[in-house]
Amino acid sequence: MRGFRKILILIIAVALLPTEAIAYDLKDHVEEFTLKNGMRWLVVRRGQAPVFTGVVMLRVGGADEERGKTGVAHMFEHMAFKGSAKLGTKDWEKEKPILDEIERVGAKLTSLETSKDAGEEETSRLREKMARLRKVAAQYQVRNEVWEILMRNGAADLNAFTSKDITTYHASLPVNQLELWARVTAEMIFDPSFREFYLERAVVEEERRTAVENNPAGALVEKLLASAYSSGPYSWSTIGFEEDIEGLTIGDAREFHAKHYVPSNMVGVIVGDVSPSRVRRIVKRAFGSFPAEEAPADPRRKNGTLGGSYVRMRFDAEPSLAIAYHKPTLPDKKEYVFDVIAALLCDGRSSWLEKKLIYEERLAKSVYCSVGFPGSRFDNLFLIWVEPIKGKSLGRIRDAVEEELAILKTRGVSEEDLKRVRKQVTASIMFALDGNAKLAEALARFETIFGDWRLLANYPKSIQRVDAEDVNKVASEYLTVANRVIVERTR
Amino acid sequence: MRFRGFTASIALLAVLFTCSCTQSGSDFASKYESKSLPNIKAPRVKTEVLENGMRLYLLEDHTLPVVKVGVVTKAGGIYDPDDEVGLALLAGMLMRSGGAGGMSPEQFDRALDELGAKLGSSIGNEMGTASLEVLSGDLEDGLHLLFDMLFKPTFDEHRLSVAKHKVLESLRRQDDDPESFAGYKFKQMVYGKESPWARRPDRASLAKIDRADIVDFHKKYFRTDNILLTVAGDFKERELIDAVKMLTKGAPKGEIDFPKVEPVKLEFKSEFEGIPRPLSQSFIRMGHLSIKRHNPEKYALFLGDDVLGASGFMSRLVKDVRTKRGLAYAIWSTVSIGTDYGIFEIGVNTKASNAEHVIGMVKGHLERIAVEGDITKDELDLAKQSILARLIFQFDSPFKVVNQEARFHFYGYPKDYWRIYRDRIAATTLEEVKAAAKKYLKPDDLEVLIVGPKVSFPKEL
Repeated sequence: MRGFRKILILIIAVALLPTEAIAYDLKDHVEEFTLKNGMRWLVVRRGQAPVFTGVVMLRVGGADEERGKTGVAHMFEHMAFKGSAKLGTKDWEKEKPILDEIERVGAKLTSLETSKDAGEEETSRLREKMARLRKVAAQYQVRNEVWEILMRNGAADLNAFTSKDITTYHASLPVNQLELWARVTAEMIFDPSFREFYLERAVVEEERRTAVENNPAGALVEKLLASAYSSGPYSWSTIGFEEDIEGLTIGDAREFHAKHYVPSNMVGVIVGDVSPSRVRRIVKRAFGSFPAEEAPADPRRKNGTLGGSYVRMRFDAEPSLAIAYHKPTLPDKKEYVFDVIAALLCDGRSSWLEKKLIYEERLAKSVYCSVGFPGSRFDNLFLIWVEPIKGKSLGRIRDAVEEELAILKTRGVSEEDLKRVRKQVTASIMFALDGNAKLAEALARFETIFGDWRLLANYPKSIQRVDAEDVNKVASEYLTVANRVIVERTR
Repeated sequence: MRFRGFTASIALLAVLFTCSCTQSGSDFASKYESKSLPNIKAPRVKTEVLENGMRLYLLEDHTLPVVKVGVVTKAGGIYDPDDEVGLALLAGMLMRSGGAGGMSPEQFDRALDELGAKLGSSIGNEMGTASLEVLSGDLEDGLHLLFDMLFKPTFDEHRLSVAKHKVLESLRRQDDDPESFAGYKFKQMVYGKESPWARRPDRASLAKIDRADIVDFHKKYFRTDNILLTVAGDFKERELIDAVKMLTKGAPKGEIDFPKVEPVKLEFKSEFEGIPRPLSQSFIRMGHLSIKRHNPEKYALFLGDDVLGASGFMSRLVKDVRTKRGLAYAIWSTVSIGTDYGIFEIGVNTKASNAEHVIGMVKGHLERIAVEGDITKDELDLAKQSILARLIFQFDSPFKVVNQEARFHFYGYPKDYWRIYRDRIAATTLEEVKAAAKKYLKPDDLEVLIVGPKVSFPKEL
């Protein structure tokens, strides 16, 4: 034990020199390069096991959709897994004309099905035609081949997700399959076949039913967005509106893809037991041949923000309360102040809200804070989400939250609290670097959304700089009634 | 930084698999895929049994200035007295939330937050777990708090009452989510509501549990020789062992008299239960009891289950019901194995009007595999290949490695069980898979649960 302590003292002594800096600087470990077509790549070599995680993240998501076509970003993500002219087909020459016919018939059928005065006869005729075409196309298709190829070669967490801000494709594989991963991913992203589109649209409708219609949290999120934004990119949920999804066509997905899936709008990250030079060679071969195009601009329409409202919704479930405040996003430095506020209020059992709502007053089962809801490309929301204990008044909970926020604004935060929170945030960042997949996603996120992965590397330092005055000022400026939206979900 | 380790011989595997990559695959894949399996280097875990019986599994890895610590202990809800269901669950929660080491709950929480450390504790059906994640500079303080929690919990009365409220509220909210509600109801259908493996606490059972019960519970199970401790990350083996020795000085040890648990009766019956809810989907669960953990036919059964529905997009259920017909987003099957009989379960959520149709389709797939023995060599090879190719991911994080070894011990497997697992999977024949599917999957004895609109309940099954 004595030896143990001595070593620790040594470590602490060294570590204490610069404002408790951590003995790991991400900047020393990241290599970056850009392909000629503008696609950016980051590589971290980490040899804990002969595996790697590969991520391709695009700066496109629900925020880039138009009203009437919501859900198309997520719909395309599903289509990427359907393969290309080279993947998922037995004979592309024969399959292609049938897919073209499906695209024509599908567009007609969709417009009939979504119009109010559809002719029954014509609709059912087209449905039958579609079924026949589908059968013929299926003869040439290799079902789920993208999945099969990667999984039989050891893919461990093959998947993708879409948010308001981004679309992400990720997989972890043994290192000897790096080239396979790169080639398959390039096919998925650059040369989609759009096969099985209309079947997959039905799958996505089922996904919406599970995630939003029948899910109390999903339903509240949708309501919150509609209540916090009158219009603009953040005013609907990523999965889209039911009637919009039902109306999506191959043409819509194709157009969306052509506009947004360009090399300069995406970032690739590899973390694992790979040499950066090998990555560069392989990635250049797999992704380098796709032509450079100008990255699409952010949506022209800005978020129309609503404040001061109190919205009540019904759902057959125990109540929940969402309290949200409009706030700026990075690179605005106030983001770091909000990180500190979020940790102060919600991180750990000694945090203000957890202590008060759960342990002292026993009003809630859980409380959760987020600084980047529903995304971070545009100014966003600071969100406090409370799950009350049965029978407790939501009004009392709201007041209890307000009381803590009032303290932030008046008395402010003590040096002691601030020290604890800085430490917590710094530690969380360090914990988040563990594991290839987590690190790859974090790097991709900062590079894609903010255009600079170094913001992640510098995060601990940025947090150290936040002081009590910052917290007081930001709380007073932003955590106001005029800036606030509350949604209450009860039975 | 690489693990210190040795290279496992995989010659056998290479021989088996160079000839196994025979999927219909396109030219595209064969051009880029590497035919060899990754070299598994199992890191050398330092195992140490202290005089007090505590077993340590240690693996240094200095990639990040972080240490993760895990605790595994034999204790659980299956041993709860019939009228105090929830005792183990509450004890697990209260160890963490009720203060420790002479500190009040508030002081203890504060001490942890000041380190930026994450500490958790929970007790499940048959295993208690705790975990600590801490910056390596704070390891000593972190360990102090962890061991205070394990051996000197305060069990504050007020926090006990909070924990009870939390449990009841969690159960209510679990029931609000049709997915988790269906999962829990189906378990009760298969095991019976009162079964130690499926029962859950309620207001009455929690009301009977007082602080003294929890103190007794803790005294009974938390003994040094009932604890497996796993540590991975930025620490020094020798120093950690010394620290643990000191921190466990005076901690109790000794045989535990585990209460007898009513064995699960191996019975099968075809049965339907519909729970009406005004939803836009029907949440369907189908299945029955499966096998115990050490049944040698499990490898064959797992592989058969992979072909049916456990391998995601490679499985027949997903390929047919989702990809080909667009009838569901989520559809899966799983075989769980347990100390007692586990469960074979199929789950699918579909638009209410499709429920009956989908149930018929799923049954058809099950019959083809279980009754007709319709599984091809290609499907089996694919299932094997993907399991073996991703086995390397059991070793991709040091914490995973030490936890895996501790769990092998806990469940009565040999130290290098992953090799046995690997070799058995590789050696399983098509005949064995067909035989296991026939023996253990019973399409005529399915229990079927639907949570959803009443109109989706089938007229006959």
